Amino acid sequence: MSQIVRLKDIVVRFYTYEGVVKALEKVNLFVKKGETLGLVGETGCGKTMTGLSIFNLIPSPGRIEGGEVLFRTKEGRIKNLLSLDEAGLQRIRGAEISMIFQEPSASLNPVYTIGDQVSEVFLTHREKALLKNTIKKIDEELQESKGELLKRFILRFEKNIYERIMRNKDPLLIRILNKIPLIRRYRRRLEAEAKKQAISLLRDLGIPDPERVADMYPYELSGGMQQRAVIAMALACNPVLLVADEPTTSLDVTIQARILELIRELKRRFDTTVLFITHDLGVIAEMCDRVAVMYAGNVVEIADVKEIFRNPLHPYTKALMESIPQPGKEYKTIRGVVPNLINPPSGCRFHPRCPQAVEICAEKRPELLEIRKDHFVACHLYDGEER
Amino acid sequence: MGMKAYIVRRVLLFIPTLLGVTLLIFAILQFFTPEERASAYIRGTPKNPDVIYRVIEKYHLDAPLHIQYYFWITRVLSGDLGIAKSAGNIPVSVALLKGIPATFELVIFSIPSIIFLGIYLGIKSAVNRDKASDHIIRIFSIIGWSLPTFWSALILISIFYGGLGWVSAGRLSNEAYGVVTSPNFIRYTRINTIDGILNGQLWITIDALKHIVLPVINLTIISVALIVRVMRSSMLEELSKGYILTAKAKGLSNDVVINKHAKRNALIPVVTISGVLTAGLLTGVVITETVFNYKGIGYFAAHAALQMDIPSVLGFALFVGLVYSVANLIVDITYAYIDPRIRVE
Repeated sequence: MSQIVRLKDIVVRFYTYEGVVKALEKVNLFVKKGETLGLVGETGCGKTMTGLSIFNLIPSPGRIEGGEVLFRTKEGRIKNLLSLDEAGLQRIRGAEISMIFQEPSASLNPVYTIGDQVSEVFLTHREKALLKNTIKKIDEELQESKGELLKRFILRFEKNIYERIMRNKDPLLIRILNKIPLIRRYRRRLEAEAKKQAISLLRDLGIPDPERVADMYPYELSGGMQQRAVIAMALACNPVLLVADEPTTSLDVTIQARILELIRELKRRFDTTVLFITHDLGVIAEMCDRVAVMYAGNVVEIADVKEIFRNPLHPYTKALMESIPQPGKEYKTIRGVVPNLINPPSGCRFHPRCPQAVEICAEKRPELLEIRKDHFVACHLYDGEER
Repeated sequence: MGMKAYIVRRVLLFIPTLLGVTLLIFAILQFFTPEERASAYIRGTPKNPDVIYRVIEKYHLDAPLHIQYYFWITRVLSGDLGIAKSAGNIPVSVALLKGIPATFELVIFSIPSIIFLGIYLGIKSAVNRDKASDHIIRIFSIIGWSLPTFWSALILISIFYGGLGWVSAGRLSNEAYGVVTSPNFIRYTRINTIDGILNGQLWITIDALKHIVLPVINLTIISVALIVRVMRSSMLEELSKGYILTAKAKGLSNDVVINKHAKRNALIPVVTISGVLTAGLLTGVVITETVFNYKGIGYFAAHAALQMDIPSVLGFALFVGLVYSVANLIVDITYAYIDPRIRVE
């Protein structure tokens, strides 16, 4: 299986007044084509930042200070997303990789309709196809409207503009035309075409009465419906990779299950690879093929989902597994607290809380190594270092 | 549609608001004796005290309050607000109608420049947060805000009128004033820039525009900071919200993210401030009007107050109440236009 995306030594720092937060320290990760990789860890361990670094969208005052994000595009070329310019990134974001966020009500703009926000994706990434359809429609109308001079004149004018956009002629002229109130109306045809696609996409996602929902504002929808709309935006252009950042955390349990089922079904239908970020091990077990465990800005273990539940190697993963509440068993917690990332512990960041820590753990940072086939661990217990 | 229903509801609410304004002013009137109130309707000082009693009787000034209010509001609605002694014994309504167009003209030209410049600079400032352009915009806008109005006005006058000798103060040059006041020039609106066009005398319009430039610049300098600061902070808040990240992750360009997604949400507080600012300018640009010898409504009100001209002051208060009510109405409707959540209550 080929890798869709590979993160190499990603370093992210936040420059705050309290000090430099070392949020991600050399994160290494890859996602294979067609799989669902779960990214699990406590709050604040850098899961979301890892997801955002793929988009090169780390919010200020954060910065990506090192590493590479190698991404295989639909055409099969491998690009380093961190060295692309803004325009290049914009072509990839939303079209080849897209993201679903935790809070659907926050990730929708409250003042635009659902239809507007979904069709925006088509208008941005599928303009050529929309233009072709629109011109074809205008041609049909031109044939029907023999004799109606004014209508024919307007249609000709609009067709002219669309053909200009199609040939990318005079982008400045188009930009100016878009600012003039009456002339701007020509865009309505294009927008109507995009909205039609948006509606059919909403229907595919199991939204009842999509024509009506498309004209609704986010506040008029329930959380589950809002998340469906967000998923629609993310899947509009059949992305190769979908990053789902705790997509069900803010939803009711019953709706959670339905959204998870939807993501699974869509993954199959659209042949998408998923990076699933969550802190919920139950969801991981249900959704993922492989799991990457993060602790304080590092990936500490990667393995198949069955392997990680049956045979966790890293002391943190072990502790995490033991902290799953089970009936009849004593409930265990991990001793100590999550470290402050302004002054993270030296060496292995988990060593102050680790029951198996030895001297070297405080001195040397363990590398992520393949201990068994497809099982990676970053821990001195397994890397053959002298103890 | 929700929008239409909302507008109808909001306009209906406008009626009780106006009623409240008139009741308040009527209540203030009750601080005066019937004799004092009667003298408001008499030109000059009457030699014969009988005149006052005849006025009291005719205008029902000593009747029970509800009857008094009925007759008073009927007179107000028919435009009879008493006599403005401070403006040469002309009716208050006439004096108001003389002053309002000048102020209106000033505000109509100032408000777009204040609001659009403020929004533009506010967005620029927020998008380039903590960079040089942000600091420059903030420093200059706050300097403008802190300048005493009369001082900045005098500086402008001494540079452009005194030093460079472009135009003199006032609303029109002497030559144009002669034409405007002549009988064959019809003053449709009393707004010189518009009347010039309506009379087919474009040079009057140009002359009026020349005279209005400096007061407009002065008002812009001292007011734009308000919009800039509100726009900047609300833009910063919106830019940190989740939907901005979603929009960027969709692959939208920065231009769309800022000018479509963030701007519309950020405008909501700016609309409130703009409404208050416009109403404030319409009713209180006394200093700018005085320094630039631009006789508008503020100028009239200030003189009336200095000369204890009660009917004029109360007539002005009625105007102020009306302006603020209308401004609020417009603000509320604009809100609903921007934010669909406001349309439902």
